[in-house]
Amino acid sequence: MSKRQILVPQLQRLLGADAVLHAEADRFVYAYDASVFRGTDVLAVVLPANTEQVAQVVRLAARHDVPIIARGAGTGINGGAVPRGDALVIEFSRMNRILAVEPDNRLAVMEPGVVNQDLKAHLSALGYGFTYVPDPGSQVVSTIGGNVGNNAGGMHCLKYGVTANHILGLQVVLADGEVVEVGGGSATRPGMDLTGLLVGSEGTLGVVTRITMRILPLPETVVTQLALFPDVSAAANAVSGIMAAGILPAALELLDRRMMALVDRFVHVGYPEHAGAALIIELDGLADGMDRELRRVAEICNAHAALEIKTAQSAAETERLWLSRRAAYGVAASFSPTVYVMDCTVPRNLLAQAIAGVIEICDARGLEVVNLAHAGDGNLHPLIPVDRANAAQAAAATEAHHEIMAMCVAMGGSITGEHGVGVEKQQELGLMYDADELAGMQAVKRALDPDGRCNPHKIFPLRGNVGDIAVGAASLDGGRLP
Amino acid sequence: MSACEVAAVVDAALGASLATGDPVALEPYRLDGVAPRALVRPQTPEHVARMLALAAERGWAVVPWGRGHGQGCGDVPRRYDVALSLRRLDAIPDLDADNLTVTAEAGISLGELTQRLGERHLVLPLALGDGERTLGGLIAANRAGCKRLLYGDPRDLLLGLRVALPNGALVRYGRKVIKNVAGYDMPKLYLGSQGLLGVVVEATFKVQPLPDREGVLIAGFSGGPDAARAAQALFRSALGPACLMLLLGRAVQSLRRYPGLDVPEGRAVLVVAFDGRSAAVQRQMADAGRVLLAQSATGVAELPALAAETAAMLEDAAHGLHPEQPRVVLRLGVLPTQVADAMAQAVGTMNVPGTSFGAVGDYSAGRIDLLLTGEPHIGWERLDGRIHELRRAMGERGGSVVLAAAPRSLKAKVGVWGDLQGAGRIMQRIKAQLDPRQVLSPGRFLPDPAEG
Repeated sequence: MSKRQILVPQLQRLLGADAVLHAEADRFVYAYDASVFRGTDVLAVVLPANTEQVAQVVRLAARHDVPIIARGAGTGINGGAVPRGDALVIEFSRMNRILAVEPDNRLAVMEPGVVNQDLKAHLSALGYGFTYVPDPGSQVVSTIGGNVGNNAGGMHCLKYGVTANHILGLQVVLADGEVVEVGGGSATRPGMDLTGLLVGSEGTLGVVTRITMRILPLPETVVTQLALFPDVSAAANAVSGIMAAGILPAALELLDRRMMALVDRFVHVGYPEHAGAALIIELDGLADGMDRELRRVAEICNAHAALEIKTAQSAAETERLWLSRRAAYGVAASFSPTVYVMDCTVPRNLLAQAIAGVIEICDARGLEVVNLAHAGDGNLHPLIPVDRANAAQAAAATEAHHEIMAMCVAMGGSITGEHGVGVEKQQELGLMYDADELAGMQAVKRALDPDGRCNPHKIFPLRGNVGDIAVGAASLDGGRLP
Repeated sequence: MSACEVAAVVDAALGASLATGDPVALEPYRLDGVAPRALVRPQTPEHVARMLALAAERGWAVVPWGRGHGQGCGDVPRRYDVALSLRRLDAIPDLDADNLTVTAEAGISLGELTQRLGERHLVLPLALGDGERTLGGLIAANRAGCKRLLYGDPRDLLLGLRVALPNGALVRYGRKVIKNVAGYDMPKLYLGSQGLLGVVVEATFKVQPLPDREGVLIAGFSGGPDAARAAQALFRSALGPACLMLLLGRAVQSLRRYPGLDVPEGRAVLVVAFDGRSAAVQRQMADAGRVLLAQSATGVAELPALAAETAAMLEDAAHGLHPEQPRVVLRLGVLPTQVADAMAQAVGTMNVPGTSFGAVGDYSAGRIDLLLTGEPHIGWERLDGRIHELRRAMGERGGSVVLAAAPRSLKAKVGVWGDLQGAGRIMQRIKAQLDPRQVLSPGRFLPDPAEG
């Protein structure tokens, strides 16, 4: 009997027949996520309803030495949820309850399957005047569990931090099925910050089943501005100028010339052709002193050769500005079969230099590139349209990716700011960390998951060129990741 | 091997004169009465790494030291061969004002760092008021600043670390960027690790420009519950206080003795601070003042104190009480809404004839420091039953009670940390993997599996 034949009946007994997907078509779907990679055929997909069921599944998997992959909405772009080996996928769509909202303690407790946007809607409907801040681009569909697994970022990290800064505690099912609590509602806990360690560990250290998060009062005032500059360098210098003046905007988003041109065809902001870069600037906080701060921002932008600065005068205008930023991926994707979305960071003051480097690297290979950046965070998102049927172009994109990552590391930055390593950047992790450093991380992996069953063969460098976009292309024809 | 022989072996291995076995030099490095066999004062990160490699080879136990402010918070050492002082590692290799980051060595005092940053009109908001503590100590203890509500905890500001691992490898985790999800977030693991997983030699933090304006309100209340209700009203509001600190007992008396302060009457005091744009601070001070009076404050005093002064004042209130007398410090962790009850319960439970107490509660952190002072003949070890009782009560609320300072006799009876449950077992497993030979501080924090 195959492992599937052995496990499926047992899983059905534990969870009920309707909570176990094992037909070929179902399994096929779960070989993918939002990345270009195709994984192996999974044994089965389970839809547990509570922590106890997750623990039972994990214990069963342990007895049969089967890997487990915790999966949210599958919106990750680095292949973090793509299965490798005969794995069981634990899918959280039935664990999507918001268990508590306590504005007096500034916290909320929920299951991992809650969709980010649904949580915000729920908090808004409660009318306490509180929200959960992190807003990754995928927030309409991505789950809080997935956001935790990848330490998701978004547009408001500059002032409010990434997901990790908002997660107070976790309930985790360890690889042996033990259920443990780390952190909690109180910020005062003895010992290591295990919550901080687990956030962003891409499901490789255990399965998160409950999340305690910080919620914050909504700001009294939010003002959105658009500033246009002759080039990226002027915009990036304005960003540094704003920060140096002691102003901490809620968001500072940058679009380059090519990005503006693409976006404007769909979201009619009216980006002028002569502008080389746009900054979307959001300031929030108390109303008092806001006018003065807005004037100061305008002065700084003008000092950096801004062509135009305008403040959104209505909710509709604000929404159009933000839509022009949020629609960027979709717009870019409509121009080619695949858009290679890159994610890397550099020290904030080196952003212009980094974007210039990206353009140079792509130009040298005859690749188109459009640039978005969370400018205040020094977080670049070069987008490269690729036709993977064109093997030479796919190979060029893979090379360009590697070179861009190496450039960011050399500038003191990171190979990923908010999307994670997954399978795409396993080799590139070696650009940042040497053997001793990786060994330290792997010691942590061994401590929590000694048999390597939690989302195996991810994050750490493997032999072979794993994160090859061409491998992803080949996999569409039935090829698989190594 | 004698103390002098240990020192000689260290000097030979490190190729420099860095160690001493002189009993006088060792005296300040006693822990719960136990003296080390050698004091080693490395001058470079590489010295630290080589020292750990040597200790692993020789089977020595090493305890890293800053200035010792947090060393009371640890169980009686099981073994203790080398006191490793980081104080000579006090450089600032990188202060990047344009990027708003600073990289400093672990042995630098927070006072020195604050001053150097201040010269560039910058501030590390964790470092306020604890001038004598070191950056490494702050990381090991995961110590939040009094303005955490506005600026965040160490986990929100720490970007990277350079660490000497127990096997002698010198590694760097994180970068000077504010977003980085490449591999595990190892710097977080070192926060609160009590020097157990490696010796932090250097750290990179986010810094902030100094605020335009700071303001402080001091409100008096008839008791803790009233003060906590006022804190809750401000915590729940859209006003953005940087600090909400509750003071009780001798902490209030200490504040009253602080020169130039006009503290309103009452048994409890709430200190509220605001930082930011001038107009916003002015408006918040006015709004908060009204909230405090509506919440039955006996009076509200306003002082335009600088952040460091406010913090120093609170630090004094918390820790400056008759340090010459024997004392016990309990650190409770609860939810903000539990702070008032937990404070009352802790004070009630620990109310022993012949002692007096001071309590400082950081409302938003849910942290309460309860400090007991008294005469030497009290017999502190007899508090064991009361501490067990308090731990049971806090445990039922999901809270924690750490014995942050105590005489050895009491520590030996109740342990410093309490039951850390599943989280403690994970920490123990990480310790066993990263430090299999138990080089670093064996027995001081987690139960030591290798040695029972």
